[in-house]
Amino acid sequence: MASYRLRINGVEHAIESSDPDQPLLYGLRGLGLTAAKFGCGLGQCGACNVLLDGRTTRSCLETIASAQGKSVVTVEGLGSIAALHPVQAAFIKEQVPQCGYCTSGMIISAAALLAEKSKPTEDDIRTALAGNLCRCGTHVRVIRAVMSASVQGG
Amino acid sequence: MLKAGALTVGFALAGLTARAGDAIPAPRTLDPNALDSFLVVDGDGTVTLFCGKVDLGQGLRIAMRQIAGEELGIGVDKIKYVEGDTALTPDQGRTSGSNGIQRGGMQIRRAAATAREALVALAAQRLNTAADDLIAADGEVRPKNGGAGIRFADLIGARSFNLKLNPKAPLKNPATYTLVGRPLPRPDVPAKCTGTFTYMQDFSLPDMIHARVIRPPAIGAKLIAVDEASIKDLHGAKVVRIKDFLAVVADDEWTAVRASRSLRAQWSDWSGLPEQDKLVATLRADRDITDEVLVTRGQSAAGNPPGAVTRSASYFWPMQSHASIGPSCAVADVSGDSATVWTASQGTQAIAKLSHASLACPRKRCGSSTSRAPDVTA
Repeated sequence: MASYRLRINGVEHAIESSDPDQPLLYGLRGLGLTAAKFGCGLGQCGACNVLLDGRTTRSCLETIASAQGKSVVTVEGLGSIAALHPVQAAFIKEQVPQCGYCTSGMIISAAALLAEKSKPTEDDIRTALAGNLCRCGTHVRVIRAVMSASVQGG
Repeated sequence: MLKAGALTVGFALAGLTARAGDAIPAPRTLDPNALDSFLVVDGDGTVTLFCGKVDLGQGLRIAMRQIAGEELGIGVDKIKYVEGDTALTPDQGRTSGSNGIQRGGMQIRRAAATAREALVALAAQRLNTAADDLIAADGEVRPKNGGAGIRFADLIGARSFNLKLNPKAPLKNPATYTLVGRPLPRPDVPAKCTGTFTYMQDFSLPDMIHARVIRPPAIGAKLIAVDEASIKDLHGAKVVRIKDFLAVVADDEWTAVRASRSLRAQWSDWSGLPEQDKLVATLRADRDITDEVLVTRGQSAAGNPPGAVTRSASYFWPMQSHASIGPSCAVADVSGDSATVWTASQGTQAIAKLSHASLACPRKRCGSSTSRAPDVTA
């Protein structure tokens, strides 16, 4: 059993695992940070997205060993009901989620986009979120929410 | 973490958050023809609505409140909501095909209208006023022309309604609607946007073990042999085999996943499906495929006019699964003679029956609950 230190949502954590190839996703969820979801386990759907050193990363593919020493931000770290990230506030205002299972991944990708490009075009949003699948069909509301968040200075 | 036990259910609505451990009034009956199955008037100015249909993200949690609140005369923020739990909600059938509002909502509407009729009748007696001169609104019944009213809780007290749903209970005039027809926010949205909504996949019980099912390589393949030694290095992983059903269990989730990938099993050959490359031809040759005329327009009895052109085209799209993005998931708490199963299901009543059969568990004691996490099926 080895211990892997990483900074999650601004707090130092040590995740224990007997397998260095354990996906970061399981480590996060084992700590109770369940916003990142298992959707496919193949890096295809985006439900597991987190920010790793600021970049959108598939936590289902990122191993705990390779995440060691890095900084992870999950949806829980972006904001809370009491202090919403502008993307979260926009997603709530636009009533984006249906089942909501893809929503965490969408929010991470959107937050990363707006951090890099504060006034994206609709095409920019579609491109940035191309790797986030949604089976309920919330896509139009997602785009509207991200546009709304960008106008608000997200 | 949710406490074990089918009767502990959490729910939250802006302005009305139930704390963990809050008692939900048990319905007096589960009979889908009885008013008491659907509605309980609580002593604190609220009512509890018990709904057999489940919210998968389509918004029943607010829509059903709107329907009930409109007919009954109470605000949506005063309505507590229990859904899908087979121990607590009437069997309203499966949630699918857009029937939630169409059928389930109409039962809820009738229940609320029946309750309003009964509460108005009680108030008419107490206030010595004709029922037609009374109105139910804001959780009370009061004279239309002003004057003090009586709260629902003070009218019915701790008693049951003991009424069947009345198909003739007067329905509210749509011209006077204040709730139905308005786009009210769905109560689960904020939690889904802040990562605090508990899905089936996030739900755990103390000392819970994890499992992964290992699927056969083909529909009709039989399980011939399992090499349990192939996972001996995965500490704590064990094989579960029941005839052709194969799974692994472990104390932690990642170990169960690894075991499911590493376990060597031998399955029989089965190749009864059509070849992928020949799928179109196979389907066309199927004797159950029939021609269907969709539109006939402008054709004379004498057939096509001279010079008419015939055009044809062929379209085919691949097999698709009507599935959710979240993987299938369930938690079962099985003890001596009872079991509680939590699963993201569109038909919890059917799951309860299945559990009963699979576990050889007395029907009354096999509950099925989706109250925590129905949204993953879409």
